[in-house]
Amino acid sequence: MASIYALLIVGGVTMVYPFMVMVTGSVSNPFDYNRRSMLPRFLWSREDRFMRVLASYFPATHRASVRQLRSYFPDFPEDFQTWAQIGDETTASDRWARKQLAALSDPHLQAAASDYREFVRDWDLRETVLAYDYRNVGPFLRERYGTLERYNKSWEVSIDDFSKVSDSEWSGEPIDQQCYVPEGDARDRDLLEFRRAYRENRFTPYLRGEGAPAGYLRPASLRYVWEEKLAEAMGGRIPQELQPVEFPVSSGAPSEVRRVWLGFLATEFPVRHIQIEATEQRKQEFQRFVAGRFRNIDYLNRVLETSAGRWEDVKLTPTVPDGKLARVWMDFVRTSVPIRDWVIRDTLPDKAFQEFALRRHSSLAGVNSAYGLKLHSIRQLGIPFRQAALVTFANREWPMTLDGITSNYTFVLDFLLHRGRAVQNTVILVLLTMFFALTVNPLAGYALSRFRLRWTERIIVFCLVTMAFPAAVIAIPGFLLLRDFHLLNTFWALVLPGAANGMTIFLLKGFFDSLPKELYEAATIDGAHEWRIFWQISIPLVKPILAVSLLGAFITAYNGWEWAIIVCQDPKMWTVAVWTYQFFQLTGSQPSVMAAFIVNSIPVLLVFLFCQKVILRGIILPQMK
Amino acid sequence: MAIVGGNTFRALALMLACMILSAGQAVLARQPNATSPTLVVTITARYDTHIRQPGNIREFLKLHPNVCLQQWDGIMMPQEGARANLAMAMAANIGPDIFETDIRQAVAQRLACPLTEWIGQDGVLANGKPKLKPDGTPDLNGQIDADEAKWDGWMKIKPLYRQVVTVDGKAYALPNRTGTYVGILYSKRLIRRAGLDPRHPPLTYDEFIRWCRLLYDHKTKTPAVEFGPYSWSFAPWVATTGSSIVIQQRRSPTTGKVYTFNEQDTNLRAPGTGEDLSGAKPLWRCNVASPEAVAAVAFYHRLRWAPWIREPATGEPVELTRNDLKHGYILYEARRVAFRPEDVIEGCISVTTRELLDTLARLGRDLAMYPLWAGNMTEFEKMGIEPSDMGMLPFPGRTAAQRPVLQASNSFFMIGKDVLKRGGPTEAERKAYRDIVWQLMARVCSPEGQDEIIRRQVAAGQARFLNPRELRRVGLDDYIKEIPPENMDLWRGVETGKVLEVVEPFMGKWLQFRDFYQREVIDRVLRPSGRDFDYVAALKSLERDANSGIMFERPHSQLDRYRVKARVVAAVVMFVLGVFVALIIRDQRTRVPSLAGVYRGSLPWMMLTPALALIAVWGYYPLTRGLQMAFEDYKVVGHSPFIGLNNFISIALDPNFYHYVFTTFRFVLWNLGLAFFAPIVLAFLLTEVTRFKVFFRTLFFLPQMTSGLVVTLMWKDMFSGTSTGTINRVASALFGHLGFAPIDWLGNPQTVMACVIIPSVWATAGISSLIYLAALKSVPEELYEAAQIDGAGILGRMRRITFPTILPLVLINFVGAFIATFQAMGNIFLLTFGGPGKETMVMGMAIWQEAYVNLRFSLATSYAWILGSILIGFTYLQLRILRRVDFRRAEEN
Repeated sequence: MASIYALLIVGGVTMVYPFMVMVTGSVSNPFDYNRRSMLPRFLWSREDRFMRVLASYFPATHRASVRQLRSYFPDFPEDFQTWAQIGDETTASDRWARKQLAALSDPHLQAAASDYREFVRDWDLRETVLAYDYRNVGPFLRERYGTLERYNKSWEVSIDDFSKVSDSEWSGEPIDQQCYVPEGDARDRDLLEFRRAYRENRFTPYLRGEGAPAGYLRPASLRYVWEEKLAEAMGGRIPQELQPVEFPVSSGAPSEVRRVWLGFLATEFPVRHIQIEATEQRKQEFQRFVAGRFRNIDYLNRVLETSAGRWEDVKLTPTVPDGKLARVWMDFVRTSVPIRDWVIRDTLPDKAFQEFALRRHSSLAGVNSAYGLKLHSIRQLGIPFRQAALVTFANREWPMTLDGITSNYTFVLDFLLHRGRAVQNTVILVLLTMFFALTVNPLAGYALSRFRLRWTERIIVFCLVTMAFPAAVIAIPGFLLLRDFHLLNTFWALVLPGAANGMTIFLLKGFFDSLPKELYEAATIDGAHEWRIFWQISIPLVKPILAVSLLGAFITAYNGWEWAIIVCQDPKMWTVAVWTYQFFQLTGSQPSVMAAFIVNSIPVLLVFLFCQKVILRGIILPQMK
Repeated sequence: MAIVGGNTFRALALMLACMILSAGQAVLARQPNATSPTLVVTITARYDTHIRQPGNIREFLKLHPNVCLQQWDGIMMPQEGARANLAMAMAANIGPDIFETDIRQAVAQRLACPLTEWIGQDGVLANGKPKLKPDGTPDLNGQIDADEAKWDGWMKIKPLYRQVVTVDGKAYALPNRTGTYVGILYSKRLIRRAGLDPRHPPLTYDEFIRWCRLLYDHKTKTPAVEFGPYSWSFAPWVATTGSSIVIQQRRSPTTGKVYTFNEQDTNLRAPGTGEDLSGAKPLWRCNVASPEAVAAVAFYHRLRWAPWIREPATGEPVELTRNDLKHGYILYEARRVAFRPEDVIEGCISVTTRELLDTLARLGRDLAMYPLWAGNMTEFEKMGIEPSDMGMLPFPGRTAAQRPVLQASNSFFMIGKDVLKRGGPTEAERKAYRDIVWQLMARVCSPEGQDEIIRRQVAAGQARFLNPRELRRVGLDDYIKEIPPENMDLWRGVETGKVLEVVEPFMGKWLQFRDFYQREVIDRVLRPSGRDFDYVAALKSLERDANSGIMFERPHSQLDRYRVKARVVAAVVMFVLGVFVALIIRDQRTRVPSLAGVYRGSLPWMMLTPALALIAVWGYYPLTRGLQMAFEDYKVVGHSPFIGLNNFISIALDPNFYHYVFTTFRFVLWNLGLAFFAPIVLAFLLTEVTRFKVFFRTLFFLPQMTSGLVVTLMWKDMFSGTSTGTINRVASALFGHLGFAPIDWLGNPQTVMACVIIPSVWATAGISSLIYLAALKSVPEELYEAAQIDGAGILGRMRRITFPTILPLVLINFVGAFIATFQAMGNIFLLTFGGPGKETMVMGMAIWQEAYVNLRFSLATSYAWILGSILIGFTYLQLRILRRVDFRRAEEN
């Protein structure tokens, strides 16, 4: 007996476990998804909540985001590389998170956080990094453009759905690249607008108001690039006495650092942050450079698509110009202007913040006392994103966690409701299938049972014999027949081929047969019309069986995908099942896919809960005669 | 609980009727609006409309504001299924306007329009007059020459591509503008650091393997060269042996001798006699088991597995023979050099297992060489590969006698057959539409689309990393002299012919074949178990398969040899089939009741009509059409010739067929063993327990609360082969201490069969046990009590009471389950798509693939008929039982 219980318990656990993993997966994010745990640990672990929030500030898919994180959180362990791996090492990540959260008691935290808030408020949007959620891109563009045509025209692309906006356009630009400069075209403008929307917390209402200094938009600090470069030059690690390192490096820095810095400027530092003096001599030099690059005016015009008449028409500006000339300018500065003549502009957020802090606290000593630091140069001061993030977490812990729980579901629902017709299609299909299940087969079964036709037996044979052949024999010509009727990609293709089923007719006939004959006789004597007998007497008596076939019809229509992917390829005709299959196929294993699974299951779950009795009452037991 | 009362029932029916009407309207509304002025031209994904369109397309769309170029996409399916959406759309006459697939396959199936009306054709001069030889006979050479081309872009296409896109003197496709080369990408810095010189690249296999070994990082014990297990990057290696994957055999009309040429040979003179054989009809064959093609695979094997050591004194790598390994020393330059087992290094390349992007990101860091495609050296700049560091080597020749090889890699766009019917009701409108499609395609393929990018690169000072051909085209020749010498060596090598330029095979169904090539040979050599893999045998069977269906159709002469035998077998099978069908029909008709009280009104017929009509149209018509199709060579477009028993003979001669049948039986047995008996066992267990009965029952019902699709996909996710897969996680938690290592559940031939069955066992055990539970409940309590008094244990009770009770039920269900499983493929489709290799390729899956991926509908129906013949006995049994059985609802409790 005990072994039976043991078997059942083991079986029961295997039944429950996958579901729990699925549900937990659907509320997870890149940090804890790969744990595949049964219960969402973040519900009771503050450390996990913190790490999840951090993972949303620094999404792994965005350019160099974990590297940036490392710069803001200098004690982030070396071996923490990907969110999945960090989530896996629970002890280590807990320990680190606890250490961060302990800093919340630091009295200087608030000052740094509010300065950050003040600084970010009107920082140039072009020099920002956005830890955006790609799920907001579609709705944003939908709102901005209204129609797809206008969007397509403006972006000079052709998409048929806002969900297909190329993702790469939105995942942070290469701000760390030496020669990157924003193109200034329509998509750039939209990107800035998108960032503005984030700055106004349009997608993140829970970050509105006081107490949440760190939004998902942050200044495009380049400190991390420099720190990595320096570490590499120093043999993998920056010595303790140099930390925090200066960025940008001042002339008073140790010669070793200074040397690396000059090399960094020459080969890696983004030239758009550089200003030069456009002296007469240099202007001529630039013209020579341009002439050297393009050989003749014709080449220049062809490459830059301009219509310059003379070399003199190409002007040297002190800062990077707009348009196609930008690349030439940057090359000129890089190769022909000595580094000592370079001036780093205030467009570099790291520098701008240092000056901002100086202004605010009047001196380095003031900055030190406000932030609780012991800097000996203002260039050592980094952007206090860490402080801001900690304060934000402390004040918005649960709203942010809640957003993490619901975001996968809202995404799936948004997709289902706005970006396709899956829901409408499924409803129509289910209703159609149920209608046919209720009419075609029962009518035939009834006719065969109630009336003694000359050919009753032959008709039954006619209905049953097609079953003797494999479905594939019928499916392929069926597909071609649908094509010839022009019925592909319509509901009829999904419904008609399976509407009549010999086996069901046969079964139903059996049930009608089992009704007492006296019923009919009595009704006929009362003068009831045949239709009345069918609707009012026979049907109610076989209701349990009809309910089962209705249920069956629902399940086939709702779950059916094998036939649907053959006859309804057009995305406009996809049902929820096909859509789920595609979603899995395209995105692979991800929290949002788990959410999609659960959303997909809800109708089935409801039907099952409400129709348990129907199922139990509808069990058909075959018995040998 | 009354579900629906009489009135509500009627209301429901009414409501449903309304829904139908609205659905009908929705269907009608779906019809494209014919009056809409916008012409939507669709194009497959190789051209991306989701990113900013190139200048020449923007210009065209500005000129034609009513035209819109849109991405064509369908349902994404895994593996070979990736081709299915295009194939199915083509079969359904709703294919894209501009598409890209295997040219010859598309032409053979008539899916592509010839481009004759725009480009011209062989034998017809550009002015429309026939091209004649001096002696007045038609001048045909199979190619469209300069005087025959109507379109000035034609001669700008490189000759090799012109050859690829021309089939029987007509052009069918245009090469895409973004043509690239497949070569060996390398990091100049890492190569130089290893003391090697990119200006003197390895020209032979031996030199190449020496490079790989010299690049090996002895500190971390990792190779610095990586290979992908892909057939497109393997194909050029066959060319380095002086052979090709596809060959042409031409019989000399004078001597009768058969000469073999490579696929791309244009000089078709018989060696020795010098006779020109270009007029002889070539026989195209797959050649992957020839000694040369085997040598290429052997080289992969050697790279991956050959043991070697670094000679300590000179640092030179030395390959070890089996004897060397045994002795533990080698003779190097007449010195005896001893080595320890741990000095021996196995292989000098690693294999790509991660995403391509991850691999690329390592180029220049710890990865020195990687065979890949690139158009110029700026190709992967965005991925962080410095253009000044990136270089490309041609694939080295097998020996110094063969030229090194660079594979031109491109996609070719064709105009879909459905274009011919689009545009409007009149021919003029259709012609106008066709012209728009052609102009768009010409622009998509035109190199001018690249101009903007090239200009941007030149402005940024990257001219020296480009292909000189591009620079010349944009008219910026002066930059060519800045190109680094090692880059220039490569470009000049291609232009002077010092490097042999090849393309992926273009005769035969390469797209179809390359999947097999990859998963049956290349991947298996490279994968961790590949050391002892018998690739020669695998290549032999692959070549045989390739020449009998996968790549080339089996020659008719071969079929004829079996025709007599086939007729006999077919006759026997047909006879048996006929007997069974007759038996079924007779059986069903045996109990003809008396005809008393025959109803003569029309009412019953009205009630029967919908069902009978539907069964006739969707059951009988397809059945007869399917029977007819099995004896035809069904073509999606045009006439389908009657070919008798050819389909069946091909199937019978195909060793894969027996594999499919065997796999199907294996699947059915496993499935019946697990899925069929699990609910019975469960029902036993549930009747035996006394407490928590409802609780347990509910637990096992849980899978019913989600859909079958979700169940399977969920399990697919759980079976994930990485260490983070759910099952691997659970298993390592439970058995980690026993040394459990993560298993690639669905990729491992040992586990995959069980894995495709488990999800359905899991999902259906609960619900299927219901019927047995109900049956067991009908056993009177007294019986049990009596048994208990007799002192029978659980097993005794089972044997004496439970078994006899449910035995009939089991029998009935068994036959049904057997038939159903035989045809099933849903879970396999979702979980493995027949893989790994052909491990789970059951008949249902094979039929699906033949029909909807390869568009061989006739072959697929033949398969289906064979399946039906195998099953007919069981079907007969099933229908017989059906007639003997009364269906009753189980008693309510």
